[in-house]
Amino acid sequence: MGLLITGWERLCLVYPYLMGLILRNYKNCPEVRSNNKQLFICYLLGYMSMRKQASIAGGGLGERAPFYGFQIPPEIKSLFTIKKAMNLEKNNWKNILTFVNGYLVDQEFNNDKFNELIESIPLTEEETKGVISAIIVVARYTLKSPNMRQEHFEEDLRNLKFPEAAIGILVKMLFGANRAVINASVVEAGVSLPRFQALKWRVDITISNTLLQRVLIPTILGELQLTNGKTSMFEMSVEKFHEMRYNVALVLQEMEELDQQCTALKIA
Amino acid sequence: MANESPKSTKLKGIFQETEILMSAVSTFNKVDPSKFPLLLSRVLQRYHVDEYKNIFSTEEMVKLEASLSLEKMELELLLDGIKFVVDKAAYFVLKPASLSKELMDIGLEEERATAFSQGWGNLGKALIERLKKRAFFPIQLEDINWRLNLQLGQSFQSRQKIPKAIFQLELSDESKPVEEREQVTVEFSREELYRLYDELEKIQDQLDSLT
Repeated sequence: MGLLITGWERLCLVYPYLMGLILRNYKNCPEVRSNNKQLFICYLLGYMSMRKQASIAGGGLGERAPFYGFQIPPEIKSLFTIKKAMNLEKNNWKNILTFVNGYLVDQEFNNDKFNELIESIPLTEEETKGVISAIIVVARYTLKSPNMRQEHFEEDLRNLKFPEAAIGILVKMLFGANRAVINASVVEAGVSLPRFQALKWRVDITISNTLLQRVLIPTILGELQLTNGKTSMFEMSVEKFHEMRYNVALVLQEMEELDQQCTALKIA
Repeated sequence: MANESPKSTKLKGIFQETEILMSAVSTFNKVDPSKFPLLLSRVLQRYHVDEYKNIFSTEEMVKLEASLSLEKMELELLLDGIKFVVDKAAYFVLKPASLSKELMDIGLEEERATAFSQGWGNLGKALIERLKKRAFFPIQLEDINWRLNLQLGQSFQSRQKIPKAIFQLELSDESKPVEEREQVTVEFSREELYRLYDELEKIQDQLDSLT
């Protein structure tokens, strides 16, 4: 797209410089001031060049920018240089994309699976890594914009001359049911404080102790387990337990109300 | 021995007549009975409230020595004796009448025994409630604070709308001072909070089945 500029486009890109020149002369040459026809042509050029610039940025198709932004990402550019990749068969693409899907869902690079992948496709390790980077970049841009339309995605890839065999599988991976799975793991892996994993508990009644022959008061012994592996063991009196239960219920209620408010205010 | 009711056999063992107890009793009997009620009520109010402080400060001890006309050692013996009697009375949840009888059995004069049991009748119950609340497990949940956030985006995804709650639990540790209390910070998504709520409901069911 940005590789071939037509004569007309060259003129439009150069227009602002031309306009500057003309205006400079206009100020200094009283003869030109009276020449409204010249001025009108300049303005017309300017207007058309602005429209053209916008449409160049929009992939020459209208006002929408492609999903990857105004410039083709370097990873995708280098994908096009890997000749073998451009001609891969469908099931090879399937293997590659299954691997990338696994990476996105598990949020970690599995070396064993990678080695299996290299053996099953006719690409070298370097070439495979290049292909995978390109796919991951495409996935990242797609995941970032949850409102992206499937047709736009396909359209942009086709305009890029992305390997046709890959497009179908990519669409299935990134749109539809699988998208929800990837979304969930993206959120999981995001920045967060240690999260709740489990609460192990025990209700005890003390019969007697050193100070009192009959106590008969229940207490709750809890062990809180967090996602960072940390465990905290503590005892709660019945009063504190009720306070905890009340607060948890209150927050849940507030979450529900927040949901309703968001829908009402049309946030996101 | 066989004819005696089990209750009286049990109560007979409350105050064993040891030498120390006997000398405490004789010190009790030396003190002016009118001063007793005030002294007793002061002890009962402050006992087992703060385990790290003495019931009387050093200045107060000096004043007591003067007002009760006792030597330092005698005053300490007197206070130890009072605490000992109170501990036993709390352990067995003695009624004032029974306490009075037990005290007289070990030689305390009637007037003083009555004063003792009257004080116990007034403030004993509060002391027992305080004792019941004393927890044995070193780490206690002291405070619960929370904050509700709405996550709108993160590095890999924009346009989110995810409610997240952050809870901060303050835990006290018997072996550490108040400033070093541990704060446990936990983040919850809606599902995780529901899971916690389910567990808390199970606990509540258990508590309900007790009553």
